[in-house]
Amino acid sequence: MLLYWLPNFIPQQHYAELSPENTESQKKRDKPLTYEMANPPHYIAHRKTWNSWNTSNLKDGIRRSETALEDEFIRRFMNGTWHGLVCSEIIIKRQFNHIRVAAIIRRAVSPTKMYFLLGYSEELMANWLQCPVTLELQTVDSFKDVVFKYI
Amino acid sequence: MYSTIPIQRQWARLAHVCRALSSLEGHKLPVGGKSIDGISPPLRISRSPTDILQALAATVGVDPTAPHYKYHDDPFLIPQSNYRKRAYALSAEAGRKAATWIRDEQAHLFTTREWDPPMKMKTPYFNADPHIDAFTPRPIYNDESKVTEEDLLYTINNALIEDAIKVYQLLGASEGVNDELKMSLLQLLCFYNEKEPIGAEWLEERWFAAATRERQAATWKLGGLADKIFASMDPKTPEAYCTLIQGMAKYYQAERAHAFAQEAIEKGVPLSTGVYNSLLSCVGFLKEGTALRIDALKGLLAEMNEQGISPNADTLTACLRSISAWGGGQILQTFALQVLAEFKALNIQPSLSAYYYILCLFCKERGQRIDILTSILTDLENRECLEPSDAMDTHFFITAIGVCSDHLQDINLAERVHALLMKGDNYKLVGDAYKESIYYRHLVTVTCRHAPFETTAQLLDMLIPNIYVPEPSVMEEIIKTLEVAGAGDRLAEVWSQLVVFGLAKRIKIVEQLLNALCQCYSYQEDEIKEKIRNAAADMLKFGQLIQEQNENRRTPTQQLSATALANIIDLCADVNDKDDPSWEVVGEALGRLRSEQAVGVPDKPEILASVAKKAANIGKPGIAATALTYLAECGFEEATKACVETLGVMLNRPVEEVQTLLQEPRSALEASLHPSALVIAEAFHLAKTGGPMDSSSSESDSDSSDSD
Amino acid sequence: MSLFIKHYRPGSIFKKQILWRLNSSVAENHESEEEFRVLDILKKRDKQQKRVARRIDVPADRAEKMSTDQNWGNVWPGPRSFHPSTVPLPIRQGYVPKGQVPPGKKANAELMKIPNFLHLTPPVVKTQCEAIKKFCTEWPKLLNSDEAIEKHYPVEVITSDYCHASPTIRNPLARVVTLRVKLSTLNLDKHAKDKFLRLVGDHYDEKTDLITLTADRCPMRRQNLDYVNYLLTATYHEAWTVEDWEKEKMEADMEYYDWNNNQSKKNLVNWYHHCSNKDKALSEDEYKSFDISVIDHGEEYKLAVSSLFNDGESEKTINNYDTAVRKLLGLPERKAIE
Repeated sequence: MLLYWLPNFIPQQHYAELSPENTESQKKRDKPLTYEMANPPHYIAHRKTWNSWNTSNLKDGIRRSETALEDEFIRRFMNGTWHGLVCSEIIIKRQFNHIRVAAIIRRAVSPTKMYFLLGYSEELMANWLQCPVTLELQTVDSFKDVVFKYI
Repeated sequence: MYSTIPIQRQWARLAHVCRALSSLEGHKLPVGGKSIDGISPPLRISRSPTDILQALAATVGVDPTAPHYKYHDDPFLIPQSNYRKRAYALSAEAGRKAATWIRDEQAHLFTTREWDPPMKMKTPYFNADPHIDAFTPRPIYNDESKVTEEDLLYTINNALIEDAIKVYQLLGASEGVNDELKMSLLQLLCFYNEKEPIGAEWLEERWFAAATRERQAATWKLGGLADKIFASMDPKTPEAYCTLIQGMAKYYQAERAHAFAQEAIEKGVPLSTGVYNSLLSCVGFLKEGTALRIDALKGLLAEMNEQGISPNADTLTACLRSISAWGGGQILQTFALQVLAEFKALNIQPSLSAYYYILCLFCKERGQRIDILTSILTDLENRECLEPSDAMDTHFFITAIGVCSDHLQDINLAERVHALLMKGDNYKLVGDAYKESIYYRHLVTVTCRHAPFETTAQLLDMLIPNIYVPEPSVMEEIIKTLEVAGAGDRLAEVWSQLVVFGLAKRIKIVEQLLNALCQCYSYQEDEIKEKIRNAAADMLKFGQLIQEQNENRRTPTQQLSATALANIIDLCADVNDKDDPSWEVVGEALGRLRSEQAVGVPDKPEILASVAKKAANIGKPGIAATALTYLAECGFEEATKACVETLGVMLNRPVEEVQTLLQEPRSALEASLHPSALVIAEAFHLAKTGGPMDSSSSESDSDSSDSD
Repeated sequence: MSLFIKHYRPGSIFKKQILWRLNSSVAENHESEEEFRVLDILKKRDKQQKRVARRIDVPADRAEKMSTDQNWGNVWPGPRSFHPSTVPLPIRQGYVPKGQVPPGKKANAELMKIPNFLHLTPPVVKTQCEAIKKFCTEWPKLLNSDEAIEKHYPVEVITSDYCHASPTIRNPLARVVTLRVKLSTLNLDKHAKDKFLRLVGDHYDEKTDLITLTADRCPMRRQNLDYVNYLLTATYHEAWTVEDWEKEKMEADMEYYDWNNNQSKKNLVNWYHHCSNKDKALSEDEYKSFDISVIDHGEEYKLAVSSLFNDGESEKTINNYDTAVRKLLGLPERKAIE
């Protein structure tokens, strides 16, 4: 038992045996990653861009904390309302008092239901945030369409 | 982010630096686009807050590939049929309604913000600054609500009838409300007849509201709250009289309205033009017979004159409304023209609804053709803009285009009507979804019938499917036009459109389309021919698919007729390659013909005969045999000749030899002939004698030979 | 841990019971078939039967139907996130190792993130400018250069409007008002100018000759604007008033070195008289009004001394003084030190 916690004392080949899941998963390559997941945060502005676009994040921007909190609310609201349908990150763009929420949605429910959700989310978020909210969705067939690579 | 704009260089002169600066705001500037002395700034061109936005919006034209902006621009979410358009728009609105319901029910969450930890602090939730009223929860009134007169005022101003009645009762009915509020409530009740209207924010619901033609029957609520409020008012003001009479007249309680009016006149209460307008519009309910009615109308107008009340545009509309409701005929038409001339003399312009009634009066379905529309259009085209003033104004354009299409059958007039509708902001006069669809139905029909093909094609490309999805009758019209023009590629596309629009189950259209395809198939280019063949093959497959689905539902399905199947066979057989998949379709269709899954018999059997020959020629004896057997079974005369010819092709011998061959007994043929040829020989005998081949049990199945 | 168990045990038992009941009912249905009943604990079969994938026909992208001569402004009239089915361009975006192809436009969240300018193509900008031209007025003809503007509109008021993404249109920084005016454009005499400069203090920039007044003390822009206007008015009029005590201004109070009033002039005059052997006692005023031009190089000396005091000691002013003194005294010019 002690040996598990002291990897330095174990010869290299044994160490590999002791952590079988690690190596195996690397071999299998069955964990799908989206482009966003494939690029860690330090690549923001190099390989990928921000998920929130607003002026509060700039120098001397006003309403910093409120905006951050509202964005989190929007993300949770979207993921909960469009449950199991959202395939990408929720992208929030703010211009003046207009909030545009973009996402990639799976075509798992009928268009009629999607329209209901669209109307519902836009109206409820608009009332909650007191800004006009527009949803800009793109639909895809399945989660597989957004997979960038497997690890 | 921050645009630092040096706002303005102040226009203060050196000598009065300070004084000029302090009086800047009150500075009144002269009007004009140019500076007077070349130094002082020119006058501001006055504009409303939305003028710039409207100017920018005017630069955006129509994109025929895009759906209406209320739909989401994603291939999965773009509606393609009338049913879906309606369903999607109303679903979105249902979602919005659900959200507002939550907002109103949980109003406390939307008006106060609770800070962490809970219970510690509550602040008003004012996110937006300046405050936006549309995002604040609406109050809900029930029996426990504590209400004030302000609530009543709020409900009245927002036309919330049920809430207003509730608040009114909570306030203690007639005792607890002051006269001014009572008056406003009476006006509200009379206007809507105590029925809650669809809220102004539910655009889609209003747009798709069932197009029920308003019944011309007395729907006024007798002894309702409006009557009670009126009774409780003391003294009864002229305003109250006017309101009540107008309400009654609006909802066709004609006799009481007139009685009240009489009472008011006797009491010396002054009545307004609006009252007379409403009385005029229901004057026909008092009398029977055209002459009496005309007299009554004239009498009312004379009474107006006596009272010293001047008429307006609505008076004209009301008169014409009454006249058009009394039927047609020479007398009424002349009278209407007299009224029109009279008002023109008074310099009163007829509104769109007045013209609508004129059109109703003059352009009856089975009446004489009267071209009154041309002069109406000339008048309307000369106006700067068409301002809606009456709910019936929205009926003008569909009636006008209907007159163009059915009554006058004049494409030039139709184009003028359409141009007028598209001019400026006039499209809002199209009414609702139902009226829009009727409008385009007439427009497309008249264009298909009377316009040159290029114009029609352009119009169809523009409208379909995003603005308008054709109904079955219009689709037939379109197919007819395309057939006449010989536009094979467009016809081939029509099939996929039928599927998308949900019309593919309508056998009549499909058959018509097939017929049209056959008619113009021969002179198409090879590429288009292939498209047509594919479409035909797809039709057959679609029919089967529908049938399979319906087997579970046990509803009767319409089936393609034998003629239609023969058409499919004709189209698909036009390939010279033995291995082309089209032959499978041909075989399939033949199979369906033989197994009697089709209605009737083909009206052009020679098609099948020629297909049989071709099949034999190309090396598909099975298909040839099936076709000929079917012909023989149906008892077509062509069968015998076709059998001989096909056999001749198959065996590569002249006709005479084949005929002698066919005289031989079955047993001899069985040995010498290919099974398919044998089947054809049998078909020959069947056709000739009406019975099977002699000395044979005719066991051989044509289907089994298909595999060869 | 014990708490956890307490809460969760009953639930799990309950679940099992339901499962059993469901299964038994399923089994009953199959009794007619002559087979042994199978206890389908996980209900795998039912689940598989339920999932019938409904194939949904998605129409083709509308970009494919677009004609090549369409007006793009009609297709993309306003700001909007990228959508692949509407943009008929073969776009790709994403970082990939060398040799691989970047992800295409479909289902590409990166493309949706970037704010695009598809609604502001040059032709659209042109038409929009044309459309709003009717609201613009002509620029005054005589104001054709910066000098002309400065001449006719000497006072400049600078405020900032802020566009930011938030539900409120207020920004506290918008209240700040700056007023700028050139000192030379103000109508001031020598005394007033001196007083004015003393009043404005470091609001005056000598290099640009600008007086800059900034106000942010009031919550509203209008109030601040009123305030800077008041400041300018008040200082201007105050500069023109002459108070009694201003007469008590001593040489030490002077804001600059006036050579005429100082000992240096007296010394020079005395020296001049002495040289020309005309020693005489002069009054204070006579000293002041003495015309210096009679003395050779006197003018130069005056300037050199004034600049030495007013501009401060520097190599240039000292050298200047040196030359002036040498000339005045008739000394030979200084030789440059090797």
